Amino acid sequence: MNTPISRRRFLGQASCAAVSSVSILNTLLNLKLAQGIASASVPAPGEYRAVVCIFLAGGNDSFNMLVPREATAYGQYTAARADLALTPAELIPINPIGQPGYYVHGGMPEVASLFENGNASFVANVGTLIEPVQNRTQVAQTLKQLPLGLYSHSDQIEQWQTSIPHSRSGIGWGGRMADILKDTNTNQVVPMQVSLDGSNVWQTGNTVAEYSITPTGAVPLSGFNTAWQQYQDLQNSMSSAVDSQLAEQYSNVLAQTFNQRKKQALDAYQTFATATAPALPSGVTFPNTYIGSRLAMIAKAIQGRVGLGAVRQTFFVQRGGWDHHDEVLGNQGVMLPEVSAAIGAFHAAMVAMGLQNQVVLYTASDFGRTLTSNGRGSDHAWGGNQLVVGGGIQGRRIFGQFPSLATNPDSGPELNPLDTGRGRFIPTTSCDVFFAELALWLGVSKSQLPLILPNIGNFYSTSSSAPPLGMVV
Amino acid sequence: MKTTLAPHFLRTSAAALLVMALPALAIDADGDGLNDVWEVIFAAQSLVASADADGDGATNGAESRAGTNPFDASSRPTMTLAPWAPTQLQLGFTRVAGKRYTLESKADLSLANWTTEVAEVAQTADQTTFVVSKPATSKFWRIAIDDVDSDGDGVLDAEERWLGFNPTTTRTERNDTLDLARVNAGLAAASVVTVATLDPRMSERWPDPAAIVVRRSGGLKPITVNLTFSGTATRNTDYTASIAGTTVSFGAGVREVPVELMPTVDANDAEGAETITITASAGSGYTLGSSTSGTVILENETAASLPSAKAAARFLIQAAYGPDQDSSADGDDVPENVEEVMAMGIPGWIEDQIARPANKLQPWVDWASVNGPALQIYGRWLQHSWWNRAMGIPKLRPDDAGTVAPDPLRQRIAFALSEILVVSDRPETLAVEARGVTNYYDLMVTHAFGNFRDLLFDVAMHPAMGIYLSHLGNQKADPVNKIYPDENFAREIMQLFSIGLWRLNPDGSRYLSNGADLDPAGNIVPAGQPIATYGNSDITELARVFTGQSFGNNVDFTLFPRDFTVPMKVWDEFHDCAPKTLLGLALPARTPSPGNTGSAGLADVNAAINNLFNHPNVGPFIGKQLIQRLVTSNPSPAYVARVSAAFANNGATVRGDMKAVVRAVLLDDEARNPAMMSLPTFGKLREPLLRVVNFARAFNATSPSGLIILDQMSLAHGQDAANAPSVFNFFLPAHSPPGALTQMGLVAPEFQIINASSAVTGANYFWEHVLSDLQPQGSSSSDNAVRLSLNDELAMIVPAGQIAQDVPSGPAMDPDPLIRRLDLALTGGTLPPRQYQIIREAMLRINPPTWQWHRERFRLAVYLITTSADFNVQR
Repeated sequence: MNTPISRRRFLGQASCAAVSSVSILNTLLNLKLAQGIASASVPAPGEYRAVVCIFLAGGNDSFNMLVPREATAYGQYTAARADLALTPAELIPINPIGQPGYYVHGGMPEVASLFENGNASFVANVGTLIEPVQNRTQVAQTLKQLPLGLYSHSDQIEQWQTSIPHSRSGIGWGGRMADILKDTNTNQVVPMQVSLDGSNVWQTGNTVAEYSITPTGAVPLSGFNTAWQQYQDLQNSMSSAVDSQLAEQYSNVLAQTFNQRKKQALDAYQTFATATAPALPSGVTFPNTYIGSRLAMIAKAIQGRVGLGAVRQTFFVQRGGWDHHDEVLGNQGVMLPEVSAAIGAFHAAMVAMGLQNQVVLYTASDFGRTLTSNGRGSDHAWGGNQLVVGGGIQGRRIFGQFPSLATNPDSGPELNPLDTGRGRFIPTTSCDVFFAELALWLGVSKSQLPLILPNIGNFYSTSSSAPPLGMVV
Repeated sequence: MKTTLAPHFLRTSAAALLVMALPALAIDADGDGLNDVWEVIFAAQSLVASADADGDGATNGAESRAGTNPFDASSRPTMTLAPWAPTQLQLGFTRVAGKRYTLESKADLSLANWTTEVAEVAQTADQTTFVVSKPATSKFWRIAIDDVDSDGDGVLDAEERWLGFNPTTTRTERNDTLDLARVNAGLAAASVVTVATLDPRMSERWPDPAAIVVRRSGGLKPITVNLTFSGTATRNTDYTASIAGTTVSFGAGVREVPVELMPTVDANDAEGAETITITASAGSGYTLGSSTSGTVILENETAASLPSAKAAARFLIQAAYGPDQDSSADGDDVPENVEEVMAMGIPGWIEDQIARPANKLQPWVDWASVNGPALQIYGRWLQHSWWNRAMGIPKLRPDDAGTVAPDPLRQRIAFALSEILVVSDRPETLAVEARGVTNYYDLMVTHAFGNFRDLLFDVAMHPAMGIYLSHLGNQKADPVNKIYPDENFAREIMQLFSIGLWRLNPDGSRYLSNGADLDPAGNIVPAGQPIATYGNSDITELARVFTGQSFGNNVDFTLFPRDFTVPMKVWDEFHDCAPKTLLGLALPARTPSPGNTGSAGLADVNAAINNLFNHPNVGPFIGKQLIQRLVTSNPSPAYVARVSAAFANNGATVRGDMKAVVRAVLLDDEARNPAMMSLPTFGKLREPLLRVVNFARAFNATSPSGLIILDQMSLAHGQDAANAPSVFNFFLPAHSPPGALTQMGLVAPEFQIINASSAVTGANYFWEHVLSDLQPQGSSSSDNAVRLSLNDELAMIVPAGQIAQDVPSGPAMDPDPLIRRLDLALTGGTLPPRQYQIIREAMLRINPPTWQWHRERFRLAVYLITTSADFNVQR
């Protein structure tokens, strides 16, 4: 007879006095966990999947990254953008399926090529929303709930990472995904969320934090050896003492947290270094740029997924410097090519590993920017355009609704209900819908979506058989 | 349903035991069939295996194999069976760490063919259960107990755990000697007992215990050491001890037992200092070593007393850069800046600091921008100037004829303010404007003890801020050309520099709507909801105020040439002079003045600054952040309320007096009361940059040239002065790291930059730089290489004449005095005895002929302290 056996400890374990309360969301997550893994059914069992976020911090002026080519729309573009408008010679034409022509920024030939080959798509005018907002009157009169701190960097960066625009939170939707999906991984030593740019909200969960590395990989603790080595008195002594210190328990919760964080760092280093030691496939090269060096390291981590015990991973890259109140054209002319070349190299690396269908890369940014100029650059706005790249996506498409670029005059008739002023567009696709696609693809079930994206029900019925956007699922 | 209780068949008490061969043999040098380690744990050397000393039914041999106590009838291999759930039973039993427990079952009681259900090695000593399903018919269970040797070193897991060894490595503590040899030697050896003083400082109103430690070497066996308490102080009247009676017990393998002595506050303020001496006396199982006693001094301290050394050191960690290196000139072991606080008292010290002239950073950059390149001083002049001030260099610029008194309190407040009213030199325009950004930083230095209103105004008019948040060069709206004033600064001066996003109560908590309160747009906020302080229209209106400003060095409204050290001026021609509404305050239309007179624009700016400054949020919003930067991450609402009251009124009906705010932050009972130190939620993670300053000052870091050329600490520590990644600083005031802190609803802002990467690189910095140049990537010239001054400390390890030798012959001195010195300098004397042991034992492992073993001992000690939780979390 096979007797199912479980064990229960009833004595001898001092309960952690530090734990006084757990958020309701967290409790919900725990309740869901029991059935959670089984219902993460979209990927095949054991199938590897990863999502890479490139966060363009500061607010990328994405209406110069994706530009309408159709004559009327392009005319509205040049009229609104005035001294910030790009000429056709500064743009690369692309041909989305079933839509009129568009341009991408002339500094993004790799992205244009990926798009035309069906390996990239855009999501148009996507941004933070609590509920659908149809027109500027609803904004002006607050007839709809609006995100907190619209147009503010810190709030919008946070909300793009939390997808909870109605409150301030340090817990991100990537972290909430990890709360649910991390047990899919066979090894928890290295968290499923890997950051190339330090601590971030997106990957911070209720029970998990990101693993932070550098473009050269994880950093070892100097002078530390994991086991005795002959004639290495100093290392043996130092390492043993460090072990002893890390084994200490502190009643002060900050001190205990510090010790834990350091211990986790040492454990993770060993695992990560081993797994990411092999070189990338021959012929794979990356540009030596901020983003390029980071995507190269991500490629190594993806290559080392078996050693990491990783079935699901998220990766975070944050490239700052997009707050172009000044010199937007010149700055984007340098920075968008860096994005494009790095993404092109990354996709080629995934192809070389045969993983292009199992990795999706997307861009995010604080907000779009005002279409109108401040004389030198553009200011903070709302909806913007984002890029999605991967072999498994519905490529060569522009998802969502690209808005009319007509801007309203200060007085007189309304030309564009979406323009709240200066070409600040009300998003026509919410971040929730965009992220729901990525979450479902990564293995979150539809019934779990509200745990990841609490407002998703305002935009998408989780009982619907149709996908939120149709971008990857 | 019939359920037969399990006959508590334990393999140890049945013939089956012999069938199941042990994977490894117990240590049994005397061949009596009893485990030698078990014998020493339970003092059972005289027992024979076949007897049953406690008459509990389990023979001594069985108890030896089960690891239970042969003299305690309640400790024996046994099992209970009880219902658990309608369909389940629980089998309860007690586990000994390191033993393997195998649950077996079968349908009848014949000896053969038991089915193994589960086997597990106990990682801790505990009581536990196996929960099993109720069988349809009868069933028997038994739990077999046996041993494993996980690391295969010849010492069983249970033996290793009894002795404090590590069962997963053949060389516990990475020792050169294998575990089996150490255990055999330790079981055979006699123990030698010594006594030493770890911490001789205690005073009545500073309840940080003094500590005397009893040590034993040689043997591993449990011993009980007899002690004598003597001295002029009376136990349980003047002080209490952490042990009961006059003996200390060493468990097997234990090498140190601390005796902590806690002062008792009494009303007798006339008594003098008293002494407490603990002396080890003879006993069984040990001999006495050379040093058999330790003494501490109990200072009488009255409510009016000046602070003790530890109290003063703790205060300096909060308010300045921690204790300095003690000068050997005065013959004591207390750093001079600690003595300064002890002599003046904390309020007196604060007043003395407030009275000192402000030491600005810009003079150093002025000097370097002319003289730097010839001296191979490049680049990060702003950071160099910051380090010169943090280190208290007595000349503002190296060629100054006179000297200045250091002003660490002002510099700390300035640094804290620079993390609230953030300008970062990361944007390229500012990276090359070190003079301008230091000129901005000097606003914080200047106004640290001034008025917050003046600081806010000067910030708004500073060209570095004008560039950083892009209101410089803003013009009034031009609807025809669709050009509108930039809103960046208008937003951040409200959100980050003055009032924050939410209406606050004076205690820093969010004010919640009463159901009739209106939001900035005039809509009713439902009851219980927080209320935004401003809406987007307020930002748009305020942006109109910050128009017409540009570089103050020019006659015309132009962006060139740029002088970042001259406040911006206002050209009314480009200023929006139309009426405005600022958070409900109506500003009238203004009459433009000619050129850069800016009377209209300045009237608007002044009105806007006054309006923000007088908002009730400013006190709690700024005050709470200053508490977080200096004292604790999670101040009580009452503490915040006291600080915001000081902001609202300095006692002379002046609002915004920073002197009053600083006093309120640092003199508050919550900051000063030492009882706070033992609260689990009190304190803060030190800012990574400041821990490097404390480290540098604790060893009087200096260079041959006398210049402090340090920068780019962000490489290892994620932080440099005026170099935040964004206007949101390095960390947010509300950051809460996942885990216990988040679950308790607590914040710990500095953890935002302590991640799995910087937790390692930060520690590595100390390992790599204790003995070398402090500059992260090496100095550009050896003359400017900043190093710790270590002769006094190294002379506490080897005789002074041997310091320069690469392999000193010794003799090595005892590490205790050095660790004690480091403890006071780095942690304010809060290092617990266990850390003393870890550090001392690590140091003692480094001996000749290790190259520069004396320096390596020092490096180990400093590294282990600066990377400890005790140093990194200030309490």
